[in-house]
Amino acid sequence: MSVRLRVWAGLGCFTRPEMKVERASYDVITPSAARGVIEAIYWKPEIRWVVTRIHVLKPIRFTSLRRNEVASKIPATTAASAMKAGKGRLGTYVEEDRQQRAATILRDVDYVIEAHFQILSGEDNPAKHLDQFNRRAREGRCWSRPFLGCREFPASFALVEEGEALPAVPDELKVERDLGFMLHDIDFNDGMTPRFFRAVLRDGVIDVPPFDSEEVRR
Amino acid sequence: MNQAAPASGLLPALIAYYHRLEADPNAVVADFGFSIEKIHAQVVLEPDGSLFGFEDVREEVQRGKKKTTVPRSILVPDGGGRAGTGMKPFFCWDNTGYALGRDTKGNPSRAAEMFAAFRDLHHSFRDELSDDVGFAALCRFLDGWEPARAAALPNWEELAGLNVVFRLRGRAGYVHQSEKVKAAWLRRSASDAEADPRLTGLSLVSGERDELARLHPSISGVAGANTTGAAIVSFNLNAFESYGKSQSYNAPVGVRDAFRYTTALNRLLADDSRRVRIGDATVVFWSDRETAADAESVFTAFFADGFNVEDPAEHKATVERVEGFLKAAQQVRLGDAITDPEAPFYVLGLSPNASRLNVRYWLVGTVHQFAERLATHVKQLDMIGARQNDPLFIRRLLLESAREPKDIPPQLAGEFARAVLSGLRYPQAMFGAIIRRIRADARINHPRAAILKAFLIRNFDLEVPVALDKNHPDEAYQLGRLFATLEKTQEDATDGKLNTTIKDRFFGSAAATPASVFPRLLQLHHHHMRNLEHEGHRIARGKLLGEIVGRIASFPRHQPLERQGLFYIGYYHQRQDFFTPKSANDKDMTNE
Repeated sequence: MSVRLRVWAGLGCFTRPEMKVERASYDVITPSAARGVIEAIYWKPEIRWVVTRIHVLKPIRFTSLRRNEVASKIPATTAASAMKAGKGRLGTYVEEDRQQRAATILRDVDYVIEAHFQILSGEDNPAKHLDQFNRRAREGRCWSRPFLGCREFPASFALVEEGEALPAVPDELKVERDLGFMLHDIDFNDGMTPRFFRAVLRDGVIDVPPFDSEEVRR
Repeated sequence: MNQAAPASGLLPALIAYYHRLEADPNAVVADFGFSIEKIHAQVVLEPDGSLFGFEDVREEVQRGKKKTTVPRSILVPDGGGRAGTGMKPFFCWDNTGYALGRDTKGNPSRAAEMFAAFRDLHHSFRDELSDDVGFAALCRFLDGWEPARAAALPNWEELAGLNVVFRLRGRAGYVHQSEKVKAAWLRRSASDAEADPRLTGLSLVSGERDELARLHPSISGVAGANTTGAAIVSFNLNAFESYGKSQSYNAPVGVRDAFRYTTALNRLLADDSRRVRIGDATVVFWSDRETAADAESVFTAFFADGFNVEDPAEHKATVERVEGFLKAAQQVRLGDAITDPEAPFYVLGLSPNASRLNVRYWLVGTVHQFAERLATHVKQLDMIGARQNDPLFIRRLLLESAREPKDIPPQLAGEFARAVLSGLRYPQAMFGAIIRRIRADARINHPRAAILKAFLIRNFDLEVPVALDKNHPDEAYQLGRLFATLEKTQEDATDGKLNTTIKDRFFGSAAATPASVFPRLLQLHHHHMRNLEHEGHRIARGKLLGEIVGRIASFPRHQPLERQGLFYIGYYHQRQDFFTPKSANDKDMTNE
C-alpha cells in the first residue's frame, strides 16, 4: 500500500533544530517535512502517513539569504485578557518588531518520497484512501500547497506510478554518507519531544526507520 | 569514532576537533567545568591573607612591527558566562568589580554588592578547603579587604575592571590550580546540578542522554559580532521558540556536547593564524586529524590577505608554499606537498547577525577534494600578463568587484568563496559587478581579465585561451582585438599625448553596443593612420587591421554580458601582445 511522490523545488530549508534561529538546513528533507508534503495532498483523521524511504535525485547544494522576520509572538495571555475585557491591543507592528534572519538553505532539490498509511479509525478500506491519494496526486490536487520546509519554498509534485522507474542518482551521491542525527518527527503524545534517528544516505537513498522502532532515539 | 568518514554536521565535526585537541599533549584544552579566560592581573597574597602585591600578567607579543600587550590565557574554573543583571561571581577569578569591589563602572555600591557576593561564594567553600593553604589565604584576604584600597594599587588605572586571579607568594601556580580546589569546584558543580534537577533528554549531537543545556556557552572571535561573545545556538527572542519550549530546549543538546563544541570553536577562532575574513564572514579551516595541520595553514594563506603583509620574507615563503601546494594538486601528486591528503577537512564561515551567529557556509570533504577544487579555480584564472608572481588570492579578486574594499557586498564575497571551495559556479552577480567596474573606469588589468576568463569557462562553458589566439572563432573576442588595435593607432599617432583616448570614451559602449560605435571608430582610424610617422608602421597596422576585420562578419547591435566579457578578454590579449617583445620570425608587428 505504498505510494511514491516526486517533489522538487528551487529552494528548500529543512532547518536543523540547533540552528533554528539563524537557519541552516539539513542536507536532505526530513521525514516529518516529507510527511507534511504528503499530507498536503491527502489526509484525514482516519489515517496516519508513515514515510519509509527518501530518494535524493539531485546533488546537495547550499546557498544563503537573509529575510525580514519578526521578533515576537503575540502572547496568548494578551489575547485572553482582551477577550475578557472586550478591548485591548492585539496587533504587532512588523516595522517596529523586525528581526533580520540569515538562512543557509538548499537549492535545486528533487526527491522521491515513499510512504504508506495506517488506518486509525473508520472503515477498514485501504484501497479507498490509496485511490484517493493517487488520483489527487496524479491530477495535481492538494489541500494546501506542499512546501519544502518553509512556506516560502513551494514544491512541485508528481505521482510516480507503480512500476515507473526512478531517475538516475547523481554520481556524487553514489556513496555511503552518514548524515548524523536527524529529526524524525515530533512526539506529540509526549510533551512534543523531538525524536532523532541516524540518517545514512546510501546510493542516494535514506531508509527511514519506523517512529516507534529501536533506531529512533528516545 | 570513525576516523575515515568526515562528520556531516557542524557540531559533531567540532566535537571531533575537541577530541583531537584532547589527544594532543601540546594543546591545552579545557575540561568540562573549566574554561580558558583572558586574565590581566594577579593578586599576590601572604599566607595570612594580607596583600603582598598586585601584578600585571599581560604578555608582550610581536604583531607585525609593533609590540602589543595581550592578556594571558589561563585555564580557570568555568563561570558559565553572565547574562542579565543578576549577581554571579566566578570562582577564584573574576573582574576587579567582583574580586576587589572596585571597577570602572562608577557605581561603588553595586561594586560593593558584587564583592560581597564574591566573598560569600568563597566562604561557602571555606570548611571544605580549610587544608588548602592558598584557598585559606584567599578567604582571609576577602575577610579583611577594603574595596576603597583598590585605587591605591599599582597600575590600577590600567587594570581596573579587568580579570584577575589569585596567587600565594612563593608558591608555584595560582590558587585555583591546586588539585584540592579543582576537585572541590567539580564536586560543587555536580551537586548544584543534582540539587537543581535540570531537564535531561537526548542530545541531538551524540544521541546520548544527558542534562540538556539551557544556554550554550558563547563564542568569541567572530569579526563584527558582540565583543563579549555571540552564540550559534541561541533563542533570544520568543518568535524563535516552538512547541512551547523555552530557550535552547528547542534544540536539545547535552551540556557536555555544548561545552565541547564551543570550546573547540573558540579555540579555532582564537588562533590568528587560522582565522580569515571573507566579506563579513569569519572563516576557519580544520581537520580532525593532527597530520593535516600543513593543509590547514595552506588553505588559510590562500583565503587570507595574501598581499599587503609586513614581512616580505615570510610573505614570500607563504606564497611559495601555496604555489607548491597548488602545483602538486594540479599534477595529481598532492602527497608530495602535504602529509595527509585523505584527512577529513572542514570549512566553516560564520557571520554575525545581532547577538547571534549565522553559519554562512559549512563545507565538508577531504583535503584532497578541496585541493582539487582550488587547483581548478587557479587553473581557470590562468591569464597572461601577471605582474608579480603572487597567485590570485581570493581577496585580490574580490577587490576588483567594487570601487573600494568597503564596498564589496558581503553576501557576494561569501558566495564567491563558497563557489571556489565547493567547485561550483561562481555567483553571477560578481561577473556583472566586474563588467560594471570596467565600464566605469575603462580599465582592464590582469586580475580582471583572469576573473572574466574563469567566469566564462565555469559559468558559460566557453573556451577562453590564456594568451592571444588570432584564430579565436568568437566575433566578440575579435571585436575586442579590433578595439585594442584602433586604440593603439590613436596612441601612436598622437605620441600618447591625449588626455582622452577612444578607450576612455567608448570602451564600455564598444563592448555592449558595437554597431553604434565601431563605424565611427573606423573613420577616426583613417585619420589617425595618416598621422603615423613611419611608412612601416602604417603598413604593419593596416595588415593587422585587415586580418582582424576579416574575421568579423558584422557589428552586432547589442552584446549580452558574457560576450562583453569575451570582448574585454580579446582586447586585453591584443594589448598584451602589443607590448610583448616579438621573436625573430614574427616580424609582422612593430615593437615599442
